[in-house]
Amino acid sequence: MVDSSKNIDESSVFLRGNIDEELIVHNILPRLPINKIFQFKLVCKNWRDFISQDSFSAIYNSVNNPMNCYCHSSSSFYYLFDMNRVISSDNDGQNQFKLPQHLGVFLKGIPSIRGSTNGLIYGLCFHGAGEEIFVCNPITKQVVYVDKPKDLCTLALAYDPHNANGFGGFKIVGVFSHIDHGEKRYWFAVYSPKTGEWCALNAPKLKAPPPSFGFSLLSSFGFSGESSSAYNKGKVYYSFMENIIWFDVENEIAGIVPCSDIEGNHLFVYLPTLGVCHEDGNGGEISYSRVTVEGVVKIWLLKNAGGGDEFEWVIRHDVGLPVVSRFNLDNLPNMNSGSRGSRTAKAFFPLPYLGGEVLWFRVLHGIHRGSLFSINTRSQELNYHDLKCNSVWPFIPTLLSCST
Amino acid sequence: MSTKKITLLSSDREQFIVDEAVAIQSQTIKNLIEDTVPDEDGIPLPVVHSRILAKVTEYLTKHANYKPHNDAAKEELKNWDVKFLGKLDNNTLFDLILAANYLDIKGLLDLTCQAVADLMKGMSVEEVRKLFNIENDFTPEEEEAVRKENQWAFD
Repeated sequence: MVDSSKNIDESSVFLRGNIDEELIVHNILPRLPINKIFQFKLVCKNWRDFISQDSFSAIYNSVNNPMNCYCHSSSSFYYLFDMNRVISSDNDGQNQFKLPQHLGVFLKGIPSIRGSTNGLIYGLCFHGAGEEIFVCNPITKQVVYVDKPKDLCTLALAYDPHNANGFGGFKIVGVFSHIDHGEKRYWFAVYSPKTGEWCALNAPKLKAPPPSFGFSLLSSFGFSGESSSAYNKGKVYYSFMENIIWFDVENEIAGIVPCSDIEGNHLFVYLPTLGVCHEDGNGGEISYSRVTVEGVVKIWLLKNAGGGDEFEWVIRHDVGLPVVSRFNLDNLPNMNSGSRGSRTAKAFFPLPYLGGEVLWFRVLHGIHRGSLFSINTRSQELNYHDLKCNSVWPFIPTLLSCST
Repeated sequence: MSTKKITLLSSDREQFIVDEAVAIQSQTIKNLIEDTVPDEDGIPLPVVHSRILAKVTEYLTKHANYKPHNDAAKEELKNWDVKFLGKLDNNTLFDLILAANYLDIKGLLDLTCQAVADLMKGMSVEEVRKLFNIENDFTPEEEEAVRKENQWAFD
């Protein structure tokens, strides 16, 4: 073996100190865990300044493609960046970052975390006088609280990590409802931390859907159920029974895309899951995932090529889940005897689809228990992911913001 | 079957003869082959020493001849990469990063940068300064300010 210490002066083209800072910053730093990166702000002023810049957040995101979702057990919440890095509301498990304690709780039996958008978590919590909406950057632990307005039906967070205002650049888009002459009407309002106010919008008013949907509507669109929302390229999307409602945050335009064409006569097990699929290489498109009662997972992409109000559905996955029912759940850790027995594909609740051949599911077993599974559609390989927690509530896949 | 051979010339003018398919995994070499009239001794790579070019061609040869078709093959290639990295000291590793960057070989750049990142994961701030020969230019007060501002990262 060559003795490098002897050879270094004559043969090393570049001495160590000369390794290009750009190389370190673009190619090496983004591969580190986020807390390590922030620790290394102490290395020197150049590094400090560089890591503090918004452009670093963009580089970080381009190297890392974090799988973002959150889950909860009976006592704590976990927010996953990927399988190795976890944010937790307590000290249990493998957490590397701790969420402010009062945010990871249950309110009236519903998890306080409602979703996440591009690295920010949002939801409802009790803080100060009463129930409030919170928006939290779990990495830096910044939290903003907003009074929860009356008549709010559901909310979603619009946040572009590269916006000029950093963390303060988010907007909360709420859907509100009231009864007008015996008819239920819905409208949008947007909250911006800059103005500190909700601004009702003159966007086309959404009429209540046909009466037959009335009851389901309440459970699917209100706070009592799991409604799914996603944000991509300036538009917030909500799943709404047989429709997708979208809202263009800057231009204040709203619209409806019906799902009836694609869903046909299928019967589905759960409400749809919305996500952002990043495989188009052009900023992503909305994914729409459902599982039929026959145990077929169907994933569509909602193409919005022109960015306007023209939408097109494209099927991305249409796969039976035979492996699932054959899989012997009894052999898994954390399975009590009560959960043994048949486990059909119906127990598989799809996580937001991010793109690629691997599909992720939350699998329920027992009332408050669950696990995270992934299925490779090509190899049919099924993997179990022990999260050291019971139930998994995945939400919107996001990129991670480093801006402080 | 004959394959076209390419001669690469290191900074210390040592010749490396490799298959064209091996060489053109480097975007820079590919461009040089297309755009320039070669030196009669070969394609000159004036910033890559023979010690490093030997490593680069070793990597390129393995990766050109090895198109993994299944998981087992992928696994083997991965193991080969790990062994390849294991034989390198830090100086060589840094030189390889710079060579991979100059020669525009994405796979090798990813591999070597990840190796350095893995190294840094277990390091203190002081150790990182040492690794890159960086001088601490903070005053104790400034250092304290950065630490305070990013307290969450140190918890």
